[in-house]
Amino acid sequence: MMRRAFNLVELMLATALTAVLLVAVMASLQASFHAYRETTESASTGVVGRIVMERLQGLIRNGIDFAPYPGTMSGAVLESDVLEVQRPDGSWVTIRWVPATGSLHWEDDGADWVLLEGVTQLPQGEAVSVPPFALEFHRGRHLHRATIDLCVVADDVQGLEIEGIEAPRLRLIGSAMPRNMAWKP
Amino acid sequence: MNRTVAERIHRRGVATVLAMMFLVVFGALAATMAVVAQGNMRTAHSALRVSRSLSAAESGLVFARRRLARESSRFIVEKGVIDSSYGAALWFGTTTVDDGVVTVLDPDGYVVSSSSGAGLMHAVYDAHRFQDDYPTLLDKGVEVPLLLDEDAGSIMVPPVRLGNEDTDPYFLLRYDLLADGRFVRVTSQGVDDSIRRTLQMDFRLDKRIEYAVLSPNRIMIGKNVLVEGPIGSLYGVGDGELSTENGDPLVLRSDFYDLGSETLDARLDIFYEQLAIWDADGDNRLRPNHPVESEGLVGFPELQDWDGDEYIDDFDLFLDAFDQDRDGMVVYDEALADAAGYAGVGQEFAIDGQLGSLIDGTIPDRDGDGVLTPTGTDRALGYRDGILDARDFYAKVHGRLAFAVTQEAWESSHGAGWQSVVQGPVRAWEQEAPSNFEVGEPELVEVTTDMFLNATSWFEVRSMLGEPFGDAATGQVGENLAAGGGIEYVPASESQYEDVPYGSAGAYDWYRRPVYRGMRFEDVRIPVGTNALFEDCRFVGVTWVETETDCGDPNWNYAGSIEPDGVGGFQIRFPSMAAESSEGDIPDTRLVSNSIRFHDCTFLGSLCGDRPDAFTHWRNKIQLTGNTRFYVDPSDQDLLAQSDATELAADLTGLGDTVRSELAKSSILMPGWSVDVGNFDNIDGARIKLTGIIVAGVMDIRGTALVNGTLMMTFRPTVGEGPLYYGGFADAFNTTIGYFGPEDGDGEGSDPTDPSFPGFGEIVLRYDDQASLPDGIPWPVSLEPEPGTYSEGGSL
Repeated sequence: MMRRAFNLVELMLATALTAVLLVAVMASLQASFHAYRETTESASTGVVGRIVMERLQGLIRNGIDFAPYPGTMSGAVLESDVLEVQRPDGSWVTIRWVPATGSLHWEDDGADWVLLEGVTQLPQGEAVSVPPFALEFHRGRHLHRATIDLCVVADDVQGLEIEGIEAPRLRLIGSAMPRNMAWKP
Repeated sequence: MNRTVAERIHRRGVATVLAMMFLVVFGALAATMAVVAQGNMRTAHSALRVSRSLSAAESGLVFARRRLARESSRFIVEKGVIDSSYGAALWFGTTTVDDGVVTVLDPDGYVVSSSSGAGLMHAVYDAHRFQDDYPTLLDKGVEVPLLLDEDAGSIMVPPVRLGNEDTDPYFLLRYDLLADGRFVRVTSQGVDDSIRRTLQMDFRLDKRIEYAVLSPNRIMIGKNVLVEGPIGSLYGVGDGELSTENGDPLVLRSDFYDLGSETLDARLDIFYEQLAIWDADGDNRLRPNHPVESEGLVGFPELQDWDGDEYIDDFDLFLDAFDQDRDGMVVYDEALADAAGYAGVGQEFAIDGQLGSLIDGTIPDRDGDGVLTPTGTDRALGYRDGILDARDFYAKVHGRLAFAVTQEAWESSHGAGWQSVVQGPVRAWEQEAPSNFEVGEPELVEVTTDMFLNATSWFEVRSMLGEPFGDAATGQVGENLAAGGGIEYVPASESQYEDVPYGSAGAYDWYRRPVYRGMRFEDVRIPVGTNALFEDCRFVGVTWVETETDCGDPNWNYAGSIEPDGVGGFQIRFPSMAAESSEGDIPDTRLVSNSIRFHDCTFLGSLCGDRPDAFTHWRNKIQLTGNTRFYVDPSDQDLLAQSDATELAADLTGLGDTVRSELAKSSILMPGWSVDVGNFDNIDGARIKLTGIIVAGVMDIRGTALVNGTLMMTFRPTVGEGPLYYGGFADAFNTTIGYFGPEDGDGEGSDPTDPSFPGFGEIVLRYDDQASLPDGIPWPVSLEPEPGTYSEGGSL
């Protein structure tokens, strides 16, 4: 006589195996999705960060005056949360890091908008924030070089931290010399 | 047991479904990640290309800058100010006789077999045509030829690759003369793969003499003198000019000797001994972190960097000697310090207030905003705050030293390193070496008296507009006397003999001068033979001093000279001597020349004179003593601080903007004359202020003075000629700024050990990069970038 069905033991065994497999698959899938989100968001933040960095460097290259000023003439390096740049047309732009919201702001002629979010300024493994701008002045207010150091958490994956997974942090560092200094006769 | 087909058909397994599901999910994930990774790679690749193309475009700008600088320096022009029309004429090569002489030097480093034209654009074009030797490249698949558009004044330059590989980036250049003919726009496009970045910058055609002092005779800069600008010395390349004792092209004296501290003097000696051996870059400083220079500090713990500027110089030793509370600051003026917010600090340096004031007042516009704010940011950065410290950015010379002589020839003749006589830190400008030898044209051009044939034309014409000088009854003198009110004229026959130079221990002649006291002159010509003393007079506009220009006879200096006879009287020094001129023998050349002393006078304009054929310092001599003042700007803060500011400002305002702008080109324009500014008896508080190009044959500046411009000397002493005809050496003539005594080879100086010695003075020589030049001085033009015009974007 041909058997037409599983017996109870087989069924329970199959159910148990299926459950184990499903749990394993779900865990794997979840990890995969996390990895996917982490990768895509990191890549996205990296791209946006690069664009922001390029824009800030261009702003510095083309700037004709800068603030804040140091208090001494002899080659002072000033670390700041704010960078003010006067453009060739005479207008001023302020780039401000707001620690409370973890965002980098662009303030221009009364307008204020967020340039980049997730700017924690906390490097990997560090508990103390670092300032985003280091301004090296020569002879008073003559900016010789500005270094931008951004520590960014990919914004959309911050939720991962609730799940106990540390969100990846990007560190973008770039420096530029104002061309009115570089080309000074 | 084998399974039947029916069994296989009727199996209800989930493996296939699961496998397919995994396949789809992981496949999707892998594909997504691959896409993301590829996108990331593309982004990075693009960023790299953008960066490389931007760098290539910048390289193009640097290339163009060098080419424009080199080619423009071949154009020696007489015209002083490059305006739009003259700039365009230079670019197109269409200058006329009215524009003055334009001399074009031969190209350096290449040969032009067939010149394309006489203009600057032709020179740039020919440089690309005959000097560039780059492989032909295609841009967008098309060959770009070198093109000159003579109508538009544009040049298009074919691609130049930055490397040997086909994948290396390249740049293309374009030059365009702008509507404002003073500016040439350079457009540089960098290309890497398919990414292009374009930069633009304007270059300004200008004429500047970028020196604070330029001289073919020795330059001696003493204690309590600071120079804010480069120094150029042409001395030492002529026969017999170099000598062991005094024949140094440049002498710089440290400001920190003789401050009442034997310890400081001894440490300065040690420092300069070490400096002569170990200074690697010729800036008179030693770097503790430099592998070579730091060797000079080993074993000398007293040589420390007290101001924290990463250099050790004599200012550090000064701070060490006088900073009693070790706070890095030396207080020399409690009142100023209190006003600057340093309440309660005690004075630490009192022996030489002029030195304190000098250092504290250097580089007034410390924040670089173009505006002096004595109680604002500039003071916060150390200006006039009563304190000497790192913020004062101390340097003996803020600029480079340029020598025509070779270092070997100088040191061989001197018998020691050149830094044994050149003391004090030299802070060169950005990207410049502190000391440069064998510098020749066009960087260092010798300016001679002959070249000033046209330079004085505006001033001479202006001087003729006024009333004649006159006498007691006529002309401007007569008008002054008629007005009364303390105005006085004393004939020469009623005055005392006066030594020349005035107050010097080494006087070489004596004059009985007529005295003009309290008078006002406007656009006046002082006739030959006046030889006067002007006291408390005001000169408005151009003051022109006449002299006989045909003065080449070697006896010209001496014919008619007077000396004390030893019994209280005076006698002719060379009784049988006469000088020849086109008008015959002249037994007393005083009658056809002018040796004039201005005491406590005010010049609201310029002091100029005829251009003598030869340098005769006994006869053609100007001495400015006492509280003699020069102003040309009615809003000058120094002028406004004067008690008679209202009258002075009114006089200047009355001249009009155009006249004042011409007068500002030169406070003293006396090529071939001997000019003494200041007083051997230094008067504290009396400051002489000169602006523009200050021209003389030989010049002495003593006491307290501020020169905003360039000191340009014209006399090169030659053994056997002129004043050295009867003997003597070339090193007897020097341009002396500040105090030097007889032990330094200057016989006119007074002795600092004398109880009546009044002090070392306070002098600043400040190069003015905005100063306009008078016409007639042959000097190369320059095409320098205007950094504020840098922009990213545009198209070729």
